[in-house]
Amino acid sequence: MSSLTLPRLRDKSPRRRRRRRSRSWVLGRALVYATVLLLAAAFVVPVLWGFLASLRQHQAGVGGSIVPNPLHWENYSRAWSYPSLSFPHYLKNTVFVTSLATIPTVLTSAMAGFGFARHRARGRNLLFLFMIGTTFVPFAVTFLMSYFLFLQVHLVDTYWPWFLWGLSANAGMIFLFRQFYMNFPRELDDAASIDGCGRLRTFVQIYLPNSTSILAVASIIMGIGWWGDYIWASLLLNNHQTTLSPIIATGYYEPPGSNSFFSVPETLAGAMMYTIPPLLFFFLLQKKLARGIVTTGVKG
Amino acid sequence: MSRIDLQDILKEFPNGVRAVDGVSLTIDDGEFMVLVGPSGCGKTTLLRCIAGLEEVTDGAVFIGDRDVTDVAPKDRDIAMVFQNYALYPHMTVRRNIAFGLKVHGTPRAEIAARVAEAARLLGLEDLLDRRPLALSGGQRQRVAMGRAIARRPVVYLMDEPLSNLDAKLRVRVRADLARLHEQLGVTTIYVTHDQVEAMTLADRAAVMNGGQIQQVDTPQELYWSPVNLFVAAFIGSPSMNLLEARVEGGNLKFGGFSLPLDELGDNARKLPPRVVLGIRPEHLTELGSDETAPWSIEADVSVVENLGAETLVFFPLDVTAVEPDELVDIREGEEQAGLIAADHGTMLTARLPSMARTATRKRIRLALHPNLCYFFDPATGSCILAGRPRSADEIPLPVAGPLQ
Repeated sequence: MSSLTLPRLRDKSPRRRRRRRSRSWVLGRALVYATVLLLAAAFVVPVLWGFLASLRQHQAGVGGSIVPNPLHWENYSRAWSYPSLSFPHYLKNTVFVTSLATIPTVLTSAMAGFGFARHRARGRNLLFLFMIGTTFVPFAVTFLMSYFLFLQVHLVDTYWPWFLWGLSANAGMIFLFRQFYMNFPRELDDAASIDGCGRLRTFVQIYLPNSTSILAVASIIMGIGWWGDYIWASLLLNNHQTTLSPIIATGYYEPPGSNSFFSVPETLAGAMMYTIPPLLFFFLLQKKLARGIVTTGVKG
Repeated sequence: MSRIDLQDILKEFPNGVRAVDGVSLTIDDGEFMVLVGPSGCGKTTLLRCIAGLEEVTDGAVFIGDRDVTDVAPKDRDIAMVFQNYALYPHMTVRRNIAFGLKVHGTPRAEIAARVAEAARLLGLEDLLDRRPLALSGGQRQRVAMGRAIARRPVVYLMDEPLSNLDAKLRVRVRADLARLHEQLGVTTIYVTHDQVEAMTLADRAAVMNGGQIQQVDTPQELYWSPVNLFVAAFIGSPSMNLLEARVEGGNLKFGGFSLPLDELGDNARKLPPRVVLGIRPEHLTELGSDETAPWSIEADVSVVENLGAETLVFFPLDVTAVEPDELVDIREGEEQAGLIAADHGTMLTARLPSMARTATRKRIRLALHPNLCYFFDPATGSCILAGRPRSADEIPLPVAGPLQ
């Protein structure tokens, strides 16, 4: 019986081409992932180590096994209710100080950014350059001047400096908002103007509601910055007014009082709890980051 | 009383560009005025000057008896529909329509009633709780209209409101606009570069070029009696064929043709030795082999475009084309532009009935109707003799006007 042998055709199907290409693609991807994981590890490992170390017996130092056995979760409750360092009290202070500086900063920066983006005025660009220039002045220079200024006007041991910082906006944030508002459809300004809005109303009722993504970004950047502030809280606030940052940095001592020792696990437990609110804040605003609807009312 | 009076409006931008150059125009109460012209002619800038969105460099704007030249847009009692709709993205349709009323402090019950009325008028009842993101282009356009209607202003300003809609929807919304104007009777200024919109919607249209008004008239008058070459070439689609001709020995001569001028009667005496001859593509008629006409020309067909309802026939003639700079801009949008560049004379267009016998590379004989030809002064561009049919029978069928 004879059989007909068909010549084997070279498979040029898209699937085969895709498979051939995918080998180099996989290699490339693997390299990328390895680099990313390595970089991520550099950031995650200290936090992971801190978390595991916070679960050791409260007398333990920095050495010893990485994974403690048993896990001492009570370190967290001790850090929370440490007699002379009331965690809830300082948490409240931190939330207050952070909000006091962040909310006005974001709003005033947005307003200034709106002005720079939309308001035509003589010297606008020069003023903007000057404003950006202030970001290049080293902190060490402004910090001493600011401190002595607050001392002169008797604002030390008060929360006023944070509010004043908030009102004076932030150059970086102003730049961020200006760039965002420059891409805002101009037709919305015109429509608002025809509808009877002045500049302030246009900003409050049209621009701000359509800026959720950039407001979220600015709030996260400024909020986390103020949450982590150590220097100003240490310098300007007394022990009762201060925030968690200086408290945690000072550390927890066991047993409270004299002849006590520095408790690494309890201090780390306090530090872990200190990181939770900004993380929650980030996840809360994360949805807003991806939202951008400003151009959905216009065509073109 | 919502008569609009523009007195010598001049708008010069800081970079020295003069967008509007001494425009004076009166728009009557309840009139639908269309500002039409090619891109960059200053029509939108003029509209924005009327709205108060641009400060005028010189001149005055009157709405009714009030000088509003230095009055803020919100205090001019106007409503505007934008080319890109400009709906507030974070507001529902209801809030978009109500926003202007709310800002003006209208009582809540009144706002609700006006929103409902505008929604009913524009068929938006089912969309009131949607946001712009969830609307199609046509629906967004209707919301933009609703926002203007609900305000009940003394003047509507519309800046190319249909330009972002597809062709079919544009025809429908155009009809809706005409119906709305009929119902509301509010003075409307409408900006467009689309002459079909201008011709169908306008009570009167102002043809603009280079920041100046070339002619203000009814659509019919603009078509039949253009004051100059620009208006003649701009109004009508495809554009009017324009070519240089000589008047010699009682004949009109161009491209090897000699046409007896006595067909024009006494009007022939008005013609100087050199003229620009204008022939609308729809005023050329194909002649059969045994048919004759007082004025006829012959040419080889270069391109035939069958559009279903009509056929466009392009044919070259050995004549000098009239292409002043401003006319080149007008023609740029047309396919003719490419054909004009071809190296076989000047390309002319004939608009013939759908079942025309013409085929590519065929010799064609076309009749010109003396009374439908236009004659312009080549030096000034002004119209010497406009094509005016003595009766409706004189207009070639089936294309009897400028509309497609």
